[in-house]
Amino acid sequence: MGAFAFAPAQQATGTPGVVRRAREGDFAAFEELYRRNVGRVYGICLRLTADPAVAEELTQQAFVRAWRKLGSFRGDVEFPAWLGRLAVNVVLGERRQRNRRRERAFDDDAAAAEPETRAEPHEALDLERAIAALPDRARAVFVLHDVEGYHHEEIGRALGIASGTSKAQLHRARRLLREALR
Amino acid sequence: MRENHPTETRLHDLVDGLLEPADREALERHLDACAACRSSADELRSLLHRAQGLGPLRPDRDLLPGIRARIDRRRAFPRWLVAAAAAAFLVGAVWFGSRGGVENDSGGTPATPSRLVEAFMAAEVEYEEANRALFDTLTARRNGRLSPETWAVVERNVEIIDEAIAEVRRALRSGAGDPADGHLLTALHQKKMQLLWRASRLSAERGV
Repeated sequence: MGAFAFAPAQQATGTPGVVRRAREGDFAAFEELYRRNVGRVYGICLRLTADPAVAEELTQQAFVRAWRKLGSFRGDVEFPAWLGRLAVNVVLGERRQRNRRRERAFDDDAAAAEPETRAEPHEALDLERAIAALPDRARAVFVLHDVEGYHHEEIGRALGIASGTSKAQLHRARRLLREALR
Repeated sequence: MRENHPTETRLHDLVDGLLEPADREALERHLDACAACRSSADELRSLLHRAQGLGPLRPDRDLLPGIRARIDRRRAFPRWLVAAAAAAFLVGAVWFGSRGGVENDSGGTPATPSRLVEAFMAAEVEYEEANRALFDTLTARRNGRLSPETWAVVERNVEIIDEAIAEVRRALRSGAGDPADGHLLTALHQKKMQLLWRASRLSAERGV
């Protein structure tokens, strides 16, 4: 199965009863939550990292962290949304840890110096592959904004950049994607 | 009319709903009259629509067994014990590697660099996980317990150690490294663990 194999359509996820049982330590309930949400979590991890092996590792970390933090889930948002945010935090936390120095260098000037795209210019790419071929920062901003629905202020805080930089990176990502998909 | 073409940023703002009503209406009037700009806006809307419609993706393998193993390990052992075990494992791997690993029938073989490197690399996985757990704990409870200055010192030192680890790791993986590099790698991981450990203890003491 390829890295971009689509999961089956999801049923309604995170019903309160299953979440409650998982919070009480019922691993079978947690497994049910895993089955229902692994596609969403892996999707976030893969789109943000563009690396299937890393995405698998981070997906596992996200679920382990979810297990630990279930007690803090209050139900004021849907469980998949809570889990999705947690997954994003895991990916970005890992990214910060591994690329701390590089992350700090990612201001407007450094971003402008990134290679325009790793995609073959005339290759027909579907959207997933085109996203994977984006430069790291542009990809992260595009996935968080256009796929996951984050605002620029939130992205700025998460990535340690100005919201204006987030916006510029989003426009750049869209431009590169349009070119790649033509 | 060329001078009235909207900038790319304005087209993005339009599809993102960020324009003021009057500005939006003016731009839409332009799009009605300009096929090129209309095409650009349509392309952006289409891209946004497709992005919002991206569905879940399925990993190639079932990740649940790995998740369960990690959860079980955390249930069985407190984090400090996991970290200590990782340290012991790494030290053991180093000792084992430096003695040549498994001896053969001819009476023992010296450690080959590649064998030693493999031992270091395998042990590193455990060590990294333990350090990550310590870092996560520290990050989760640092608010109000560590001053920004202290936290900055911790971060800066972690960063320096990570840089050094990355350099040694590169040397080992390239085949240019020798056993001494492996020992250096061990020392760096231990240093990082000590740093995180101390910061974690300091944070815990201040939180009491």
